[in-house]
Amino acid sequence: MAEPGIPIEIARDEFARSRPVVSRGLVLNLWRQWQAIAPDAWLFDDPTQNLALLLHARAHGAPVPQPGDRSTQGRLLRDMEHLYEPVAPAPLIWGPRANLCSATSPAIESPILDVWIYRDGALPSGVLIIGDALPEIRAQVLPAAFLASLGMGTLDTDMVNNGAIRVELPLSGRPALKIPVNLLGAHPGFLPADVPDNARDAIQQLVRELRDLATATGLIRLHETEADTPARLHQAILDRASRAAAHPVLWASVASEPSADMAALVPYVEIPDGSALQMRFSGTLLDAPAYQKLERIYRRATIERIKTDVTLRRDRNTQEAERLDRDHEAYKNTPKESRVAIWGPTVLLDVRYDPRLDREIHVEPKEEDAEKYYLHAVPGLANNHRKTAELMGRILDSIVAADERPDAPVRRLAAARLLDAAVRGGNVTDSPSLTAAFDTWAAQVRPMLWLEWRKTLTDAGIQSADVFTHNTIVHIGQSDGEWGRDLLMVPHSVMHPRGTAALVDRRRRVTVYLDTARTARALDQPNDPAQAEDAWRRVVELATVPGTIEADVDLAVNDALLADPAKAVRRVLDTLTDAGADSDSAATPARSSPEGRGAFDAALEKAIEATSRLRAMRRAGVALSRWAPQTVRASVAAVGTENPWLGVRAALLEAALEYLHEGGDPRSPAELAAGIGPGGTERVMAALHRAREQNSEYTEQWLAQLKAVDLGAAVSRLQLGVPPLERLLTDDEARAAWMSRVGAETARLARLIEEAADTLAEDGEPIPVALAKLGAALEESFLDEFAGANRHAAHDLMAILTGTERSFGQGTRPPNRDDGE
Amino acid sequence: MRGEIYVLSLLRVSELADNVVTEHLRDSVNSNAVAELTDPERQHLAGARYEYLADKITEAFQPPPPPRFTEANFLDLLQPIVQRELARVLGCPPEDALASLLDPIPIMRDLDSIQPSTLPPTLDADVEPLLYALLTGPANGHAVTRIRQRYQFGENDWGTYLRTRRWLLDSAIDLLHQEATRRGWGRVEPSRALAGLIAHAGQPTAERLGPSEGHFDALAIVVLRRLAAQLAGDLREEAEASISSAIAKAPTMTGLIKLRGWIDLYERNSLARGLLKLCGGTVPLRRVIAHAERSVKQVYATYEKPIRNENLTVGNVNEFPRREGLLRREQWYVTFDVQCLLGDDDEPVTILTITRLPRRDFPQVRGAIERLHGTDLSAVGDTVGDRLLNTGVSAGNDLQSLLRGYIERHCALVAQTIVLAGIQQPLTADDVPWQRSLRDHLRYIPRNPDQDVVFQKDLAEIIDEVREHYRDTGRDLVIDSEPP
Repeated sequence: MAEPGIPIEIARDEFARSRPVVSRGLVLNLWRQWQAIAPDAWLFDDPTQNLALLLHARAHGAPVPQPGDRSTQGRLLRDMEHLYEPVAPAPLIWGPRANLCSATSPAIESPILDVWIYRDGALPSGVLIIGDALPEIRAQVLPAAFLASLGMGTLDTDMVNNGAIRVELPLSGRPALKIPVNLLGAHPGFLPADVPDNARDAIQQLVRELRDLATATGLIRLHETEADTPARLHQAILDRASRAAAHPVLWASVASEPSADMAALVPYVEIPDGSALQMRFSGTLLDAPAYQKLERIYRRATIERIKTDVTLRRDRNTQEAERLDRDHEAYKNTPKESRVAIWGPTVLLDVRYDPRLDREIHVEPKEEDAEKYYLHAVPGLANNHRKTAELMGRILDSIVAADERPDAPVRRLAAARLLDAAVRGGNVTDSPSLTAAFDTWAAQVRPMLWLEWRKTLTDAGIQSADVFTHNTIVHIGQSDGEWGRDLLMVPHSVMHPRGTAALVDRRRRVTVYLDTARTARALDQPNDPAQAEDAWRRVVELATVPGTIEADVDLAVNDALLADPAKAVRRVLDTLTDAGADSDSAATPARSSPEGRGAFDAALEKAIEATSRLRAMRRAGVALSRWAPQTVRASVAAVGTENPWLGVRAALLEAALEYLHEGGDPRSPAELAAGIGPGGTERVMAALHRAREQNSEYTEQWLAQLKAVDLGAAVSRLQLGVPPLERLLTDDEARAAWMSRVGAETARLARLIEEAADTLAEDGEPIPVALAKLGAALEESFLDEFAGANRHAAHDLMAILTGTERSFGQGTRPPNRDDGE
Repeated sequence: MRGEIYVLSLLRVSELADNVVTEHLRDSVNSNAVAELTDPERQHLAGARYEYLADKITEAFQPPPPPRFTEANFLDLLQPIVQRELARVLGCPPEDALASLLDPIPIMRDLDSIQPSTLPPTLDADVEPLLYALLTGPANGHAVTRIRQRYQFGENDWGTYLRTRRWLLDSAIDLLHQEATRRGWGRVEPSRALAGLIAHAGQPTAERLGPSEGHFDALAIVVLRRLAAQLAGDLREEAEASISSAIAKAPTMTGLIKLRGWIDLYERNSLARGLLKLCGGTVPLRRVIAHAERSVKQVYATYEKPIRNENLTVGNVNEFPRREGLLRREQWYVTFDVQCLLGDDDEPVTILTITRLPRRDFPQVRGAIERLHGTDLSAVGDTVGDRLLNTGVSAGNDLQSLLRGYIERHCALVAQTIVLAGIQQPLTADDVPWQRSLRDHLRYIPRNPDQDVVFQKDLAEIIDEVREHYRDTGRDLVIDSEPP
């Protein structure tokens, strides 16, 4: 290996002999020596070697001249540009017509995903996903595939590239990491059935998730085939390659009926020896500073996100276990005679914690005896959280171990995707910073990759158009090389016997895969309006023909869509929207009458009136937990004194607020109980006076506990026994109106939070800027009239953004959990 | 009280927020902003104040984007005040600011391309003389102008050139990005960050966020985004649970089902699911026979006498003509009974009588009813006849029914076409309850519907072409159509 100090002649010979497997050290050493000796002279006699050195040096980040510069090197780069032109055809942007035309054929550039589930009997053994996908779908599928691969321990062999994802069961039964699948924020509507115990479960989970996404969005097509499909197709190609000695063979099984709906990625096979076409590069290609930066950003979006999530779950469960332990102890330490007053006679269980999935499930509320709950159920719940925290700790250790394996599987998976995109001339558009880093690196490395691929193919007598098509993907493996780990680039094609034919001809030297994508061209003609009108007229006429059957409708609508997709689909939807104008039905997009809307409004008004005091009480608690004193005061005033049960609690909450406002210490609130210091101010005393007027016994009991517990815990207990709002609504319509409004507002909040989080700069953000971006949406999550509530994740976010925990305590009623037993 | 948590939280962590509040808080009687805003005696002012201040703080944290880097900015780079500003950002003494910003090699290369031999090619060129060289030149224009003319770009488009020709050092690019983030400009081109620095050089307002205000690094942002995603996920589940409960409580409030479809479509990105709920499927018989008259019989199914799971039947069919309209045209109508079996009864019982159904609609309606079994009947409704009227059927030969059936069968294809055709608002409605709170357009990035691909040949044509090619070249081609 030519390191600094090695004579230039030896280094030069080494470079020429080893190409394309040349190490970074060798390349940069030669480049520097060339620059130092005579940049205007040639280093090699062969100009293509000079060109290669320039492009390899650029691939490693050296400041190589640009083609067209007046320097000698710049002129060489321009004169020989044809040797390093892109190898793959420029990517095409598919629209609705391409999708309608090719709905039966998978294509790497298709925005709609085709998913093949390989089945071994009834169980999935692998998944092949073909298609570029819409960004919104890709953002869900890529992480899900990455997670499945990580869970199965197959990161070193799987492929998570642009346009093609292949995840397969490991050959031996490796144990799976128990990873709850929602770690990467996979499809939000997906409810996993279980945490995978082994690799088979992990892949089954991925399949379920893809199915759910397909059903929900319609933007994924699912297919199933036998587990041995890839092997069968590969073998079929090899058989034909070996038989091609005498005559060229065109294998077109599409002509056989019925041809099976199967697909696989198959390598380009060299003829006649049957080996897979491939090229090696030195692994040091990935040591270029631009790649290192790119890899760091890629890791942030994948493995670091997973680690973060697991860490958050571990910490959350630890805190929750501690909170439950504290509640248990506090209940035990409360004198029996005061327990009912302080803690309430019953608790309402409306959330069930599922330790297997580490998630809370909202359940139909049920009353539970407080004594039974705090003394017997709470220790079990705390234990569940402790166990989950321990499990998350173990998962974290496993992920770290998997990440740090000597064969660096995450690194290989990243390199596979990024190198493939670089060779094919595609983009990586997961996030702005990843896109920027990829563009910078790709601009450096592409010319070298294209030069070496062109040379390899030319040397082998292969035309690059036979290998690099719209349906070619480059798989990257690793293998031990002369100077360390090499990168092995192996082009593959999508083989779909219904839509692909394979030409095996000795003169072509490699299998040629023929499909319609080879004839794809950008659409350059507008739709023919007359044809579109004609096609739609035929659809409309069907309604006048008695006894029209579904097949006629399908044919006519499909024709109309093909003639002008945008216009036809608009017409279909507009027709259906108009259809509802006179409807009174629930199952259609009908427009209900204004009277109907009025009925909703009237029912909601009834609900608002019935729940106003209770909502004010809840809002006061939430506002106090995030220190919004004026909101607390206004809410307490809204609770009023008509309902003494609520009135006493609201007045005590106000006393706590004014005590804190005067600088009282929440950790030792004895001064509040004693009425001295901040606890003796006029406003505190006035609030306590009001509380005593409402219920003096409760007030004294509540004040008495302040000797034992902090103010936060005491304030939390003011919300114990407060019923859910729905309880107050006996009228079904009012209840439905209320709950549907809550649902709509909660859905809106979800969107606000997501949109706000999307504005955070990936590379970092000053703390106040992050708070300014998220703060308004978070405030709504606490205080929205309908959907505001205390939520763990919202408090966690505020704690990070403001550097402070909740003002104190749990605010409103903490979620009481059923242990699921 | 909108804005209270937001304003008080930001006051806790941001000098900028404090400045904004202090500037805009009028008639203050307290010593500081927090005391004034939380003063119980000032509660009557609080609501309006918080709303106003929240808006002002939001504005302050969203400064206008920096200007583009123009040709005139090269001259600015030589100003001491700009070099001091750059030095602060690049972490170097002012005299090294230019050397820390610009890479002399590509600049020299580009200068050389327009005026060779003005400078000797050397690796250790000083940047400042290069900058002077760029700003001087013969009568036909400064060197910068000639470079621009040579590469044919506009005077304001230097940003792209600086990036692609790598005039800016990588280390400077990173620091410019950081500065842009710190100033709230977000992820702008480094050249714009540079132009912004030049524009604000020496102005005290440029120091928007003090260094004491702390910074979240990239991993901290990952944590924030994960928590936000978790919160959004929790909220979505809550929303779904609330709406499901609402529907369970009042199944006859028809808008609730639409609300669920609307949320699927526009809030959850579940296009196919939303389309099916809003457009697809069957329609209740009540709607299919909306133009007929009906009489529901007081027949109830009970636990002891349930509806038998056998086909419903149509009987007592009578056809009759009526003369209608100005021209007294003859129209034909049908009257019929719908019957079903209850419990162990031998005789069917009439549950519904339909009169004056236009005769042309009768075959579809009859077929749809006779295909129903007892267990197909909707649970909504008291009498069996009401339940039948609420049951979805796929009858009707009108255009809407045909298209609804199409969506039911090909929902995915319709969803795909909607997104790929760039349609942002596939459905509109003014009757979905609470829709003003919800989105009314899809969350898919809009696509250009004119951008599309055509396939010039299908596989059969490609095979024919290959076959012809071999025939023309006189070589035998074996066509192998064996399945794999």
